[in-house]
Amino acid sequence: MSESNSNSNGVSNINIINNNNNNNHHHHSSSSSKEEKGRDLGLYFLEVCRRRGTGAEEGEEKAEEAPSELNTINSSGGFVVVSTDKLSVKYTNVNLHGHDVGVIQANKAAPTKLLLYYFEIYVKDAGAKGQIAIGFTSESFKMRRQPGWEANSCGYHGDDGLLYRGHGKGEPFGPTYTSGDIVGAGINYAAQEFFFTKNGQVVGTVYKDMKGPRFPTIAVHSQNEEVHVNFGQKPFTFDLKEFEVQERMKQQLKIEELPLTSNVSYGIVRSYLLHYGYEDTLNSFDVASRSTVPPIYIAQENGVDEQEIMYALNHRKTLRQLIRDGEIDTAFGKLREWYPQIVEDNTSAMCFLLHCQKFIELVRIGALEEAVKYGRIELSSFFGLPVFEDLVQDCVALLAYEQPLESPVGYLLKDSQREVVADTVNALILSTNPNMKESKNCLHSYLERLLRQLTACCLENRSLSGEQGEAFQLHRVLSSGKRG
Amino acid sequence: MSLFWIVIRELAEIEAMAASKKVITREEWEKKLNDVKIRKEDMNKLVMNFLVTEGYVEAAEKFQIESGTEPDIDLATITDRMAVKKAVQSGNVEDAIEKVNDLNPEILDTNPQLFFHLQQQRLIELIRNGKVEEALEFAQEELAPRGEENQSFLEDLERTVALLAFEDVSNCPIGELLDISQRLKTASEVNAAILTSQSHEKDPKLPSLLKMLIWAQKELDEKAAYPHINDLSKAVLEDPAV
Repeated sequence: MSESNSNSNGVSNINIINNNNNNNHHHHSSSSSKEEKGRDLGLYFLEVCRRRGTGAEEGEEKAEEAPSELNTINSSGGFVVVSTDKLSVKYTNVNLHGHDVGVIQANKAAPTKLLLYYFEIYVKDAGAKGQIAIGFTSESFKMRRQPGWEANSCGYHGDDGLLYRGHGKGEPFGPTYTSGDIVGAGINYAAQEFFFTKNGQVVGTVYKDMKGPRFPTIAVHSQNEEVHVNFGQKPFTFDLKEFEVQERMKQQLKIEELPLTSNVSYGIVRSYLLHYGYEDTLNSFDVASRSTVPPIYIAQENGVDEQEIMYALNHRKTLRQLIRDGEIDTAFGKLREWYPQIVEDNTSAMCFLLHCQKFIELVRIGALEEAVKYGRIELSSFFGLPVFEDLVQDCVALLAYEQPLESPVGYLLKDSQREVVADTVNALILSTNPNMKESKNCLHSYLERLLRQLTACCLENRSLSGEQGEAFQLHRVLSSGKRG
Repeated sequence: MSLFWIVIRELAEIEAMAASKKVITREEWEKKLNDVKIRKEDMNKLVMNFLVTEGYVEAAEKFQIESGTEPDIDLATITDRMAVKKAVQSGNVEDAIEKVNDLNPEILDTNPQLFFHLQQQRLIELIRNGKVEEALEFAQEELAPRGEENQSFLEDLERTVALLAFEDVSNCPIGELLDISQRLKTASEVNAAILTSQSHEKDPKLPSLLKMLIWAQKELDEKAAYPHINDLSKAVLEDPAV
């Protein structure tokens, strides 16, 4: 219809379609509020798709820079020689006093957005007096003093086994160490402590009262002392993973002690099943919870909310099934029959997603010509519209590959794409409920709201304590705890 | 914004300032919430984990079909585990023990406390059914030797046998042993042991996450005033109380 008349401007294509659309009065009217709602809701899921397309993993943080080698620029040059790989240091001077220490820092400060940071040294040679130290210092540290001898630094010294935390006088801390020993230093952000190890065992911990970026630091001070450092490029002698597990457990145990109203979990799982329309599961769930001993009674006080979510359960379940099976045409048919108001606007985000899915299904079965035809009719108009463009481009790109599943746009062929479309349709149907108080309620199940609140609180907590420690990540919780 | 809400907001700020807490408005907080990305697949996994750990086989099967989520444990093993749990819950302890041994003889071998509790439950059931002689014989032959090995077992044993001293067991001070909750406790213990032996966590992850939420909100309370979710079952965001 519009192809011969169209120019390359995507926007005017839309206008042509609009003008030819019998229902164009909807587009000119100042929003029937259902219409507005529909548009908003669909756009939310479109955004979810786009994020998946750019491969931005939900909840994952940008990797912080971590120390990888010794910093030869600001070291106390003249006292030490650093190897070419920047992972060993040797004291070449003859030490005379307390201000000719061969100190060297790592090239980067310790990252903070994790549970633990750790590095190790191997004492190759304790030299004349074994005055080796390992610890953390600040950026402005005086590079001729042992870590721990100056304020805002700390160091565990091999010659006396003492811990120095900013004064010349150290505290009894651990054993001494010498040639052949492997000594490690770490930061425990959860416990706000420094910890040190010797040959795989923790020797002690101390409260971390250092401010600002902490640079891993090693020092040598007597003739011929030589130390090799490991910033994680090689496996550590100390079982850091196990330590991490234990520290997480400690945290978990504290949390487990909190009281929780019984049956809250059941209620949340139930409302999740209701929200997304998993009808069969819900029925089995109800049967099972009634027949447990004692039967689980889920408070129905939120009866009004239940009404909201109970709404159109069977229809939503049917549509989800159709979409998950790739039967988009049938899905469209059912929607026209049951909820014509949400399919009226063919340019809504939901319809767009359904059309894309149809295109994807055609590509999946190898009906490429049909896909092209379909794309020309239904998808071309979305080119040039910023919100829709990315997804259209990715869809069309599928045609370019012999093995589309293995291409960068292969994500479209996965089950999860069908899932997003199904969730969109689900939300839109929920929005047609006259009892729906807030359209936002269609978007998120209770479970999702709770998880968002949890994530936001954890992030805020971390931000208010100097960005130290791990963020809450659901998929880490899910994959943890599997033993054996 | 009405005068009322302006006042509320100012009171919140005053209170927060007094405690030098950061004030986060509802709008700001909702923006932070919107920035959080939660994957549908992860939520599905959480629900599946719940169904599987609680032993809802049919629901797990249906959920696998309806959502395409893979269960994190072989569903067939759930049926067996549930049969054991049910047997204990119904008081058929001998049957339960047989089933556990069929499933994995090592479970009871490596779990003396569990085995003792099961035997104790057997004793309770005998007493409940008025089989006094049998109960005494059982206590002497099976339980007493265990009690000698372990002080706490001995105490439990003595408490249980004491039931025989009462005519009207339902009203005696140790009557709670006859309560169904005792069976449920034992059933839970067995359930956990079986899950552990299958290298599966014995508790579903969801309740821990809910507790984490309670804890995270408590922690944040010390530093900021912000909207809470107070009623977990309704997941409604409430403005900070003034």
